[in-house]
Amino acid sequence: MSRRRFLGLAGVGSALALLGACDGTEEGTGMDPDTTHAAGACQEGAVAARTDPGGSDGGGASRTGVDPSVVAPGALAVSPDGTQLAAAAATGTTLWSTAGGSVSARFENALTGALAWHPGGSLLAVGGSEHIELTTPEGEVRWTLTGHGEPLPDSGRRRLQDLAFSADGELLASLGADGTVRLWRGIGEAGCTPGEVLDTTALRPLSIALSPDGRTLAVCGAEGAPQLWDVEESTLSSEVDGVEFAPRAVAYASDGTLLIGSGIPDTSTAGSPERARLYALGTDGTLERGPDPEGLDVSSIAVDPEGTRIAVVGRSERRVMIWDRGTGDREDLPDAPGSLGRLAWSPDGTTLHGVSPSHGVVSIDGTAWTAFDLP
Amino acid sequence: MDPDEVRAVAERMRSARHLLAARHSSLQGRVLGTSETWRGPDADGFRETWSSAVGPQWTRALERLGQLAETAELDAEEQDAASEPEGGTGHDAAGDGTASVRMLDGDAGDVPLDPEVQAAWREMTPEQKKAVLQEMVDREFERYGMEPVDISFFYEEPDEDGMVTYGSWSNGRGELRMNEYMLYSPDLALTTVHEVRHAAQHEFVEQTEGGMWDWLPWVDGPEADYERIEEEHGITREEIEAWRENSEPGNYISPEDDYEGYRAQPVEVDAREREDEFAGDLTLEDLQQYQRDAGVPVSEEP
Repeated sequence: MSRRRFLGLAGVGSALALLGACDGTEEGTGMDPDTTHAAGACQEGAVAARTDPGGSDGGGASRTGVDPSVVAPGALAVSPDGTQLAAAAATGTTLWSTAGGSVSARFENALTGALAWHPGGSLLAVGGSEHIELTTPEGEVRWTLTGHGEPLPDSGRRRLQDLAFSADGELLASLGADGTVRLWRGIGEAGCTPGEVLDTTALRPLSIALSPDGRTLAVCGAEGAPQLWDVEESTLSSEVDGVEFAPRAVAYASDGTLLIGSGIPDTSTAGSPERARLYALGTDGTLERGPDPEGLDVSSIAVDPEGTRIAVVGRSERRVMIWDRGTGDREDLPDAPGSLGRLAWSPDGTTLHGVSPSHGVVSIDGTAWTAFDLP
Repeated sequence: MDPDEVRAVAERMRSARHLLAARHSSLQGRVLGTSETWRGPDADGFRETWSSAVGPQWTRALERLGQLAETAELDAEEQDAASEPEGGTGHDAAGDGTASVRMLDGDAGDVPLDPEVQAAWREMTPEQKKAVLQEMVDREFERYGMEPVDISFFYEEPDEDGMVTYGSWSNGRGELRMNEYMLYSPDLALTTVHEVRHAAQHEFVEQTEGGMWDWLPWVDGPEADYERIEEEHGITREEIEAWRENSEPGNYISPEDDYEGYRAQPVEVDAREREDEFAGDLTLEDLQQYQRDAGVPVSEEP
């Protein structure tokens, strides 16, 4: 494994303007001074229109049909106590009991964007096309967060891409299909305050992660080095140098190590194929290259609660690689029954869950994959 | 007609579609889940019947419900427009130039892939699937005597109504695009023949355009081209003329504008009929040959 120094770029730029307001609305500008982002709002109840922002660009003759996927590949969250799991079916958010794999609730909200469970267990953040609903596990929409805009052109993304709560549960970071990251502060019974808008559009971002201490937000995308933002100041504090190929997924381990997965470059050919990459950025700034995962593009990284076992899967791949950072060993799990999207460990670290568009929610306890009831 | 009432009906159709989709998923889970507890030929046959016959029909019913809801909403809009006083939109069903397009069988595209082919598809990595898709495209272009093109892969998530673009063909750019998002689905293989068929439709329409030198006694006119195409490919003059009319500016109906109309127009029905033919013919052995030709390891010999 090679080791590279992480080149800190403290003070590379300022984030965005952002003033907290008590009336629940906020506006900020991006790093580009000409950029203006819509005001965010945190409103009580289910208030956002659940409409499609627009169809595909069409153009020529196309083959269009009903998406036959069982669950959306980008939405998966496990409750903090590990008893429940949430994913997104065609009808919307669905909850399962992890004990028996049976469906315990269907919200029928038609929202299929990213999901995140509040560390307190009492709220589930559910992503839609442009808005987020903070919902109780019983399905009551307590707050609706609006502000994200229409998808970036030609991105193919149509819904909230990623959501992350801070460990204390007071902050929610959301990555929209519009390419921006929004911070929502003071999350609690009284709602929340729309915070800063981090203009990360130039990065074409795909994934975000909050550090365990909640002070750093990692953002990665296909068009640049992974960025590390100071959450308190809402400023871009540094970029991670040394990651080969386009970064596509980030995740923090409990010790503050940042895992970064990348995809292959366009120059890769059948005759000269490249593989995806996995890196670990230590808190001392050292960038270590891990084993190369299966597949062309890393789509999901899940770190177990101990911070040692790193599960990585490539986009539309069935094979999950487990990298044990303690021993340095690499293990490939048995192939899942279908291609996988997002991964998540159970809080006790004994089970790895995944979502498969063709097979629904699947889990492995180290020996064999089992499928939950379909939604 | 009361447009608001029609819209309410459309909304109920959409709700019913969501409910049916949920029930379908639930039942499918139970059917596929029986593999752990019910084994043997009968069990395999039961699950295969589900996968090859029942499941696709259900999916089709879901599509139809969505189409009907859309049609109802369009009718309500047209009623609104017709009811407007002078100075209204004046738009009617034929006003966009699409009404003259002959509507054909909207049910084409129903033939499912062999369950063994579906299973073998799921075994492949995304990289291998892409290689096999390219092989299928190459072979399909050769079938029409055309030069193959490389597939341009793109990524596009489904919209909120659950509709997704599998692929597209651009006549102007000569570009065949396929959606990486759908790589998990064996149905993406059908998109290869569907989109190449569009390319062939365009080619045959062009080949039968009249030329400025057709009057010369030693130059074959369109008549000869029609005859040759029918002889070589079994495609009639009537079919080509329907495609030509469908391809006139303003006549192609995009799925975003009118999904039912999109499915029913001649070029789409014809492309889905080619899908049906391909799906019905494709055996596991055929897929394995595509794999070998594409340099993809074949896990299980027939």
